[in-house]
Amino acid sequence: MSPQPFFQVQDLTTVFETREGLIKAVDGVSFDLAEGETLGLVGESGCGKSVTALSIMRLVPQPPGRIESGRIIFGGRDLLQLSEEEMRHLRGNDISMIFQEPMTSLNPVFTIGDQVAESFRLHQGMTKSQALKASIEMLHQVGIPSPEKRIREYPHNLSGGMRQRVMIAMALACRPQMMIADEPTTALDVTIQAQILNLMNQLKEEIKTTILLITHNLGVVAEMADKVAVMYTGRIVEYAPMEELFDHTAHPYTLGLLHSLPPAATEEMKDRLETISGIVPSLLDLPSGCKFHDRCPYAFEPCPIEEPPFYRLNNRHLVRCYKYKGFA
Amino acid sequence: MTPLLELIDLEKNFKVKASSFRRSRETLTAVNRVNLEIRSGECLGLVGESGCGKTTLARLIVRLEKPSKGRIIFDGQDLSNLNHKDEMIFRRRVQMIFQDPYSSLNPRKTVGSIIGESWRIHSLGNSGERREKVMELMEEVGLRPEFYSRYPHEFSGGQRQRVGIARALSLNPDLIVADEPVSALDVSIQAQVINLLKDLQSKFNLTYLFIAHNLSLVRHVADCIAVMYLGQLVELVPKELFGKVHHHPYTLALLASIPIAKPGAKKKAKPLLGDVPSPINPPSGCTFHPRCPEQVEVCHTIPPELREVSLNHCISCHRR
Ligand SMILES: Nc1ncnc2c1ncn2[C@@H]1O[C@H](COP(=O)(O)OP(=O)(O)OP(=O)(O)O)[C@@H](O)[C@H]1O
Ligand SMILES: [Mg+2]
Repeated sequence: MSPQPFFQVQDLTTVFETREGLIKAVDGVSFDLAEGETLGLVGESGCGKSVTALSIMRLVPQPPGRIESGRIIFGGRDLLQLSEEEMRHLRGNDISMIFQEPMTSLNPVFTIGDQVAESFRLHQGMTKSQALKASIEMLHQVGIPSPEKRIREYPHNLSGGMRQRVMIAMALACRPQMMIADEPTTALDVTIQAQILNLMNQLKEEIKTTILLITHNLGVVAEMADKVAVMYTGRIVEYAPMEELFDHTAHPYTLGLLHSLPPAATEEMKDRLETISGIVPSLLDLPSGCKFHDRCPYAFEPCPIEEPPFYRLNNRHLVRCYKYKGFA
Repeated sequence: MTPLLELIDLEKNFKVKASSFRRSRETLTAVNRVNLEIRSGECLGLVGESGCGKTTLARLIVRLEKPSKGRIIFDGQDLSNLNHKDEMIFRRRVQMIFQDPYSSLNPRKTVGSIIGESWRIHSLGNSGERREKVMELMEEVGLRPEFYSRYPHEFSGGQRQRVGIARALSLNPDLIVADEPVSALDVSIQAQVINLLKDLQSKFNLTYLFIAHNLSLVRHVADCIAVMYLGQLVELVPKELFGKVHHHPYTLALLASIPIAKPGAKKKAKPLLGDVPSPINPPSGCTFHPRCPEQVEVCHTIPPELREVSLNHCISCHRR
């Protein structure tokens, strides 16, 4: 028997009861992470990345949302079975989350110092003055200039990049074993994004945090991730080590995404961009069979009939596409 | 050949409240002495990070803002002294496509009436003719004519952007100012809209000012690339020379910051330090100097001029 992975999501399904009907925002998602590893979860808007993260943290708004099934194994326990009390303890102590929009997760009426210090006090049992000192040190570490002055400021006085760094400082204040970062740099300019990604990479080396990194940016994935899960309409369609995913891309959707990117400014120019035809279907009105078949240039007879299972191209590369039927 | 659009020492200042505590107002220079030309049929790509003045520049050109100083010459005509008739002609010949396909369309109007609105305003054709023209345009931008009576909320982001494009095309403009036209869209849809814009450009001989923060994208669509920092142009380079010449340190920093979707493509360059400074109190000398890895003493005191360092390649930097 192989050893239990550090973190594992098994067959997670999360649904929303909307006015128009029931939608499965996350449908049978499974992945795992070894300690210190970074998994990139990529896909286009609405494919279920954030709902996956919220489900892991048990923060899905309920109603309208509900985790329908699945297991989330961490530290030998199934997080979906924990009491609300146990879950509260886990959030922040063991798993921290950085949200897509930093402003919504910082409290506007407290100073930066209060908020970072609060994390230290809650999770490491420090006194007020200890926590304040530790906060200044942490803000310095995440690259905030003159942190001893900044701690007296309020979130709205900071730029987007600064706020995101404060969020990271707060997430790290408790030395979490695991961090979930939902589009941590999407709202930022490229030069600031580069700073934050550098910082996250540095911290990864220093404190060996395991990271679930959610992004729609394949460039960010190539720079940060050890392995990648590509999502489409609530499902994972391809799952592979990062280099394998880019060098031996298997799923037609992943290929389509990669080809739609404008070539990097340092690469050979193209005359035209390749495109994926059509648009992402509504979760209320999904096509039959493979959910990508009506946009797929490779679709053939079985595709509209039944959803393909995962085929295993090798030990670590899984793909949900009938093109690979020959593989077990 | 005279350029279709020419900006001469263009400047825009805003009076802003310095802080919530002080009553006094300070001047923010959003666009600072910009000189630029776009030739007919060309696409000029303008890049820069948020707040660098790209959108203000676009709004000045389409006359949604008035310049504080300097001049805009369109097809040989100075825009500061247009009479009413010329103004109407100008408004037909220059159109804008906006960043946000969600908020730029009136939610209470059908797509057909949004696209046909300009014809109604300019009283062109009767309603039957207008309807026919709208259908033609919808086809041109890849919208099915059955969508004529639908409302914007029934469309995806990419489809709404197509509506915006059809609306901009309706009066056969010469110049289209597109401000981040695809940044709100997913990559796969982004590629569709970019291809559409390129096809339309050659079909209707359009001239574009294409504004974006994504340098790779700008290089893909533009014939000439302009880089902006804190309201000023720091580099102007034709696409053929891009990557082959000695670029401005800020352009190099932008290039090094873009994550590339290729394993191991990671560049060794260190990311820029610090944030973009406030345009209210910009740094002295070259405004980029506090973040510049190549700065020397002169950069702290003397602002560099934008000058031609080699044929068609302009840079404002003491080190180039
Ligand atoms: N509170 C909610 N109520 C109803 N539907 C919801 C709710 N939250 C999410 N959804 C739906 O779940 C689906 C997945 O959304 P999710 O936010 O996970 O997408 P995402 O992959 O994070 O997209 P983005 O890249 O835009 O952040 C979407 O169809 C969304 O509309
Ligand atoms: Mg999300």
